[in-house]
Amino acid sequence: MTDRLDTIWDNQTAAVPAFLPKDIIKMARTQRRKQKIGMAVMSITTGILITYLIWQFPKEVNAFMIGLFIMIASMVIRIAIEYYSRLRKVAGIMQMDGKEYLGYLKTYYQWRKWVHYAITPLCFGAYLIGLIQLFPYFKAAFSSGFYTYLIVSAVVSLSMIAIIIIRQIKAELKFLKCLQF
Amino acid sequence: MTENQFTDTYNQLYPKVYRLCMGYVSGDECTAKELCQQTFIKVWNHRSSFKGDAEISTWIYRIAVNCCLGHLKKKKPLKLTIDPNTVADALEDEESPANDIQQLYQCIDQLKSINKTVILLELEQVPQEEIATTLGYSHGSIRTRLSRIREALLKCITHDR
Repeated sequence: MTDRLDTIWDNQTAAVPAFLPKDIIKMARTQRRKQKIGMAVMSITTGILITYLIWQFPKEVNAFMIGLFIMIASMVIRIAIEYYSRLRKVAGIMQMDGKEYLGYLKTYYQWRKWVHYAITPLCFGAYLIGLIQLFPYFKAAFSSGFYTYLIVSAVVSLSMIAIIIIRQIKAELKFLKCLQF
Repeated sequence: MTENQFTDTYNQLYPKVYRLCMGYVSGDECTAKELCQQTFIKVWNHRSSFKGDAEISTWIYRIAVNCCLGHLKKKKPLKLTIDPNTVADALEDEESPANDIQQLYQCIDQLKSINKTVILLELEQVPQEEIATTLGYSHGSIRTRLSRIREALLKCITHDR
């Protein structure tokens, strides 16, 4: 049955592909390669951290080492969670039909809510605590001008990261609200 | 799937997937292109997961639909600027296909996510059984929904005119 809706829809101008198929394949390969590199970097970093913790950490415990370790560990944990989230979402896209995927999205974003409200502030707080441990060492090692620069740049960059995280959280929470069943 | 098969599938299905995405994002060309690109990148990267137990088009529509459903909307408020010199032209163009499609996009945007995809696939002349498989509903349920959605959309475009 054809009605006015079909007529309007069929009158649209024909879509010209924005990319050639070979470009899409190239982009797909680049994306895969980046994912593999990301996974490798994260695995190596985690491996080094664990090895360091087991073998070296008890021998040279000081505030600088603790601070550095907390900073790197909190960052690796948060990045790993983000990476895992994305992989889960892609797996959902590939395996589920529309109805299942909508249901899955609701669970997924509920879980993200938990990540945003609990894990992210914890990781961010831990990173800050780690960073604060380093400042006395920086003060002793660098000139007062460079030390001030380090403090200012740390405050600015952390504020910017906080703004980006808050924006992303807001967008995801808004999306969760919009999901209708 | 070989590169040649992918090329054929891409050339054949791109227009349909693009229009599906356009309808989903209310005619936002940039986002529609991005969603299309994401869809076909996933098709290539996960081509080994296609078992061939359904039509390749069904599998691709499902990926496209899920990409659209999971897209985090960045809605921009519509800015209406009225230029007195263009009002006359606009009135003459009121019945133009461009206006009609914009109006239809706006009406589709008012539907629930699943209903949006149902009507968009139907408008792309995807068989109802394929729509049912893509979205995970029974054929009967899709038929009933479609009749309600069509009625609502026809009312919407007539009312807005």
